[in-house]
Amino acid sequence: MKDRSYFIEAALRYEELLESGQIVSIDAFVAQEPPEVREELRAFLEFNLTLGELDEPVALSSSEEAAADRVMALARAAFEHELSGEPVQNLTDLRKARQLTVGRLARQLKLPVDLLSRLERGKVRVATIPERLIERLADALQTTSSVIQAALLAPPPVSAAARLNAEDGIVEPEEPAVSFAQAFTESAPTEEERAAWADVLSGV
Amino acid sequence: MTQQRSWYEVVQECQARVARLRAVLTTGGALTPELWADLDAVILAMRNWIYGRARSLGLDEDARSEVLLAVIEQLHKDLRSPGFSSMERRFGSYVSTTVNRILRERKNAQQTFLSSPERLDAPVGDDGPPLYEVIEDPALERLVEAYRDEDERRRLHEAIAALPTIDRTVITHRLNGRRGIDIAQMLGMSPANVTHIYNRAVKRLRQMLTNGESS
Repeated sequence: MKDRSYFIEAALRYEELLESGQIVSIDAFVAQEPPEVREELRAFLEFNLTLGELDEPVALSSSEEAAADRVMALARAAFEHELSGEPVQNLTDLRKARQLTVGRLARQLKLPVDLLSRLERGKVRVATIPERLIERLADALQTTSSVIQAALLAPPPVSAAARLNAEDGIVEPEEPAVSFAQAFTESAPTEEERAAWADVLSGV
Repeated sequence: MTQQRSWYEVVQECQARVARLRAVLTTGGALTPELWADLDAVILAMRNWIYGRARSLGLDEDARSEVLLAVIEQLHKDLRSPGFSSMERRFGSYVSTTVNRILRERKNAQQTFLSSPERLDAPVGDDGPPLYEVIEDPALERLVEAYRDEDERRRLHEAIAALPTIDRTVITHRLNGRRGIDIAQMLGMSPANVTHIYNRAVKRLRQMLTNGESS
C-alpha cells in the first residue's frame, strides 16, 4: 500500500483537474492509478471531497492548548534531531544500546513492564505521553530529551508491528493505540508504580 | 488573532513561508532561526483550524492532539520532498487533504465515527424516497433570486468563484440546471455526499455574502 503522501498528492492532482474545469469522475481518475491502491484511493477521494476544506477555527480550551503545545514541542524536537543528520533510533534500539532488558528499564522508571513494552511497540498515543516520562527515559538511557522525543516518533521494530501466531499462521488483529493513562491502567500496575505516577495521571 | 482571519488569509500567509522553507529543506540546507520561526508560525496558524475539524467530528481531546501531531509530522516530511511542489501553490488544499487523510486512516482503523454524511441515503418513511431527494431544496435558486440586481449578481458570482473547488463545481452545475443525482453520477460520488457538499456550499455562500454586506 502506498504511503500517506501518495494519497494526499493524488487528491491534490484530482482537485487540480476539477479546478481546470474538467469533470473527470473519481472512477476515471482512479483507473489511471496503480491497481493495488484504487479501492482505497476511490474511497478517500470521495471522503475528502465530502469533508471539504477546513471549515472554521475554534478557540482551544486550556487543556487543549496545553496538549497542543506539548505536541508541537515534541514534533519540533524530533524534527530538529532528524535534521541534525544523526541516526534516529526507536526506543527499543536505545534500550538495547544500553544493554537493558525491558524489565530492568521498567523497574528503573517505576513503570509496569507491559506498559513499557506497549510503548516500544508504538501502541501508546505519543501525544499523551507525559513530559516526566520523557525526562526519566532520557536519564535512564543516558541521552537527551530530544533523542527520546525522536525515538517516540520513530517507527517501532518490524517484529513488534507484525503479530503473528507462529502455530497456525494467523495474523492477529492490529493492537489499538491507547492513551498513556489507559495503557497504565490496563498494565495492572503495582501499588509502588501507581504511587510513582499518581500525580501525573491525576493531571491527565 | 487567528480566529478573526479567514482560511484564505491564513493560507496566503503560510504559502510564502512554506516556499521559503522548501527552498532550503529540499536542497539539504539547514534551518536558520528565521526559518524555524516560519515553521512555528505555519503550524500555529493551522492549529485551531485542525482542532475545529477534529472537534466537529466528535474526536476526544487525546485524539485531537494526535491528529495535530500526525499533521505536523506529515508536514515535516512533505516539506523535504522535492516532488511535492504542489503544496506551495495549494497549501490550503494540502492542509485540508492531509487532515482528511489522517481522519480517513483513523476511520479505517476504528469505524466508529463520521457516519453522518451517509445517513442522507436513508429512505424517508418506510417506503419513501432517499432523504437527499427530499432535502434538495431550492436554497440556491432562492439565493440567486435575491441577487437579481446586476451588481448583486456580480457579488454572487464572485462569491461562487471564491468557493473551494468541489463546492464551486457542484454549485455551478446546479445553477446550470443539473440535479444533484446527475452531478453525483458525473463525479462518481454518492448522491448523499453531493447533497452534503451542496448544502455546505450554499451555507458558505450565505456567509460570504452576509459578511460582505456587513463590511
